[in-house]
Amino acid sequence: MRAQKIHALALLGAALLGAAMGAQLGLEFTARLSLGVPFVLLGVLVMTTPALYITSAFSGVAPSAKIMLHEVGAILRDGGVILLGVAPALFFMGSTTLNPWVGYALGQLTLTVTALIAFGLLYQRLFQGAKGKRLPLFALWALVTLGIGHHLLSRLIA
Amino acid sequence: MDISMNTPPSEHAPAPPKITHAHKAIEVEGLGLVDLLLRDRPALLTLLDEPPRQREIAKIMLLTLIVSSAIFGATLGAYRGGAQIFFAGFKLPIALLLTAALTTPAFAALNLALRGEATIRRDFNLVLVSLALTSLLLLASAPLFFLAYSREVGYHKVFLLAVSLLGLAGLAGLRLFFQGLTSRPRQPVWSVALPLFALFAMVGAQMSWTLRPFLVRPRTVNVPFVRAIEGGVPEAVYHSLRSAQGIYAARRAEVVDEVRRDVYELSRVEEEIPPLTPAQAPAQAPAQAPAQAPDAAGAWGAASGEDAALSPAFRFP
Repeated sequence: MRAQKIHALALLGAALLGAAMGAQLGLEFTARLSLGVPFVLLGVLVMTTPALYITSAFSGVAPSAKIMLHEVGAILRDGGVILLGVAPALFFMGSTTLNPWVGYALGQLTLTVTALIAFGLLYQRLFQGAKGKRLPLFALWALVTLGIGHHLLSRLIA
Repeated sequence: MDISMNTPPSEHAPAPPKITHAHKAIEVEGLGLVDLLLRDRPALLTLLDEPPRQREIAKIMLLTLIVSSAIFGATLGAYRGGAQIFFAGFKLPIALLLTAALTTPAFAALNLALRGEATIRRDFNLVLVSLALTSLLLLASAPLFFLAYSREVGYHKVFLLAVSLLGLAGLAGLRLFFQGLTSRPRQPVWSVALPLFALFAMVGAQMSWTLRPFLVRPRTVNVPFVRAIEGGVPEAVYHSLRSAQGIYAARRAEVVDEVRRDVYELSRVEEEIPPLTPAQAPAQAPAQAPAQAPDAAGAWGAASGEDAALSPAFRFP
C-alpha cells in the first residue's frame, strides 16, 4: 500500500476513534472529538518531539533530526492504523451500553494503550543499540507527552 | 564382497524426504481441512500462508463455525425448549461471526503497524480457524448438556457448566490463534497478542451480552429473541461489585424482574404473577416490612428489593 494512503488511513483512524468516543454523547461531542483527536495526537507530538531531540542530543544518544522526524511520523502513522482497526469495536461497545460515557472511557483507554505501544516502537527504532542512559530520559518524555495528551483530550469535552 | 555392503546406505541411496507439516497438508481438501484442524493444527497453519488455499480454508472454516456453533446454541436453547432452540441456534453463530468481524480489523491493523505485515486475508482466516476449533470443541461438549438435562440439573449448575466449557473451548481457540501468530518469523508477538486478546474478550463478552438470552429457565413463559439494551458487561460487573458491598445506587427493572422470577420459582405458584410497577414497591414494603427502608437517595436498591421480595412484603400468592 502506498505511504500516502496509509497516512490518510491513519488520520481517518484517529478521526473515527474520536467519533466512536463521542457517539453516545451527542452530535456536538461527536464532531468535536472526531476533529479533535487527530489534532491532539498531532499537536502533542509537535509540542514534545523537539524536547526529545534536544535532551537526547544533549545526552549524546540522539540520532539525526531527520531520522527522528521520520520515526515520529512513522509512529503517528502506525498508531493511527491501530486506532482505525479498533474503532469499529469501540463503536459497538459504546452503542450497546446505557451509560453514554462507556465509549469515551474505552476510547481513552485505547488511546493510552496505543500510545504506549507507539512509544515502545519509537524507543526501539531510535535508541536500539545506542549507548548511554536513554531509557529514563525517554520514559520521562513519554510520561510528559501522555500527560499533555490526556489534558488536551479532557479539554475537548469540557 | 560387495562394496555397497561396507558403506553406509545413506551415502548412496537418497535420503527419504523429510515429511513436513506443509507436505502433509498439501493434499488435503474440502472437509479434510476440518480433520486437519483437529489432528494437525501446525499443518493447517502452514496452509494459511498459501494464497491459493485461503479462499477454500475460509469457506470450510466458516461452514464449520456456523454449523457447530448453531448446534451448540440449539443445545443450550434445548434447556427451555420450543422457540428458544431456534433462537439460540441462530444467535450463537451470529455472535461469533460479528465478534470476528469487529476484531479482525484491529488484528490486521496491529499486524500492519507493529509487524509490517499487510495480510488481512491470512489474519481473517486465522481468526476463523481459531473460532472454528472453539465451536467444534463446544459441539463435542453438547452430550454433557443433554446428560444434565436428562438428570434435571438446575439452571445455575447448567449455567456454570456452559460458562466453564465455553471458557475451556475459548482457551483452546486462543492457543491456536497464538500458535498462528508465532508461526511466522515476524516480531513482536506479545505486543500484538495481548491487546488483541483483551479486545477479543471485551467484544465477545459484550456481543454475547447484547444477544442474550441463550440459556433460559424451563419455566419461562415468553422468550424474547434478544433483550433490550440494559447496559454492558462492565456495568453489570460494576453493579454486582457495588451490590456486594451493600451499595445500592438505583432501582433497576432488570433486577426486580430477576427477583420476581426467583420468588416465582420458590413459591411454586402456577398462576401468572402480575407485573410489579415501580410505585408498588416503596408503597408496600415500608408498610409491611419496616426493616426494608429506602436508602438515602430514596430509591430502592437491588438487594433491598430482593430481600423484600423474599419476605412476605410483596404478598405474592
